[in-house]
Amino acid sequence: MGQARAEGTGGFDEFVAARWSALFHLARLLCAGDRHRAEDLLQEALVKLWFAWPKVADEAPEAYVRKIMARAAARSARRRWWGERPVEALPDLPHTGDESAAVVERSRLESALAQLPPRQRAAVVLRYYQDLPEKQVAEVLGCPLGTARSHASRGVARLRQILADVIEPVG
Amino acid sequence: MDRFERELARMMRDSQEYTPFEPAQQNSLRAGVRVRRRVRAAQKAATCVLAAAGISLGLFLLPHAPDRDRPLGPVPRPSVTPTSPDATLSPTPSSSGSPTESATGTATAENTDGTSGPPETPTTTGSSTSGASDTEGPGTATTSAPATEPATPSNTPTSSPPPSGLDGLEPTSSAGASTG
Repeated sequence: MGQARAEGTGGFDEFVAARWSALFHLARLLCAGDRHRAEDLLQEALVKLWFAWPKVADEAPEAYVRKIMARAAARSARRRWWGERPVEALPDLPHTGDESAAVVERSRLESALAQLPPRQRAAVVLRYYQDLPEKQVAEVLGCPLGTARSHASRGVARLRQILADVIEPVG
Repeated sequence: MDRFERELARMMRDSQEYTPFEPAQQNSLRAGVRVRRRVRAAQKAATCVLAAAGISLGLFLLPHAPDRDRPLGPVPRPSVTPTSPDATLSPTPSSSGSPTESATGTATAENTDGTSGPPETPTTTGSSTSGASDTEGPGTATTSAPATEPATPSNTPTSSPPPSGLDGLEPTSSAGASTG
């Protein structure tokens, strides 16, 4: 972006390069592991950030991107091209030969997240991955506090059932 | 936060892997910015065009609006000014209680005066033009009000000598009878 500095978007490339990996992982969790959807979601959010960069550069650009991605992911059920179909069996892993525990655990997590409704998934990711308080989760999702709390608690309850064999309860 | 929630948070964080910002993604981001910039420019242009069209349409319709929106009132009738000095009241266009044999508007004006019945002094406020019309219309020949004014040829259409220049124009038989 050669004209970025001329338009007051200086520092945008540096921010994107520095935070791409973390933002991409957030997008991937919000999309339940779908890499292509995550790239689209992150790119859409970054395009919006580019136009709002003069306003949010000095404040919290990452929070801005997080809000855009979370709301877009929560609305994803309304988009036909983002339609989700929960599956019983685990999807094929991109690295089928890798039998490491980390990959298996990640695939189980993404498969479990895929079985949640988009709003519950967004609330759970914001609450437990981003470690946001419930009030801020509600603010990011643009819904009342009780609604955000309900989404998070129901999502966690559902994940507790799905991942019961992975995360063993304390005996 | 119980153990499951802590484990869930840990799984979410541990599953993160480093993903570099590759040139392909950078190019797609640039393309996205360009597309969005064009879309915004197109939207802005369309908004300006619509606003200009709306303003111009409003300005075009504004001068004509009062005439069109004016409620239709009763059609103004031509005011009949009394020509004779005897008439004291102006004739009103009300048609209440019109005389049985009078067909002109001047007679109705007299009824509004309160002097119903056979008029004692039928002030023919219709001026001389109405009298001339009476001579032409066959239906007006029945108005037999004794006019005090000299210009009353309409009351007696059969006995009135027709004008010399109107012999061929008038279809009344009086002119033919007088000449022949």
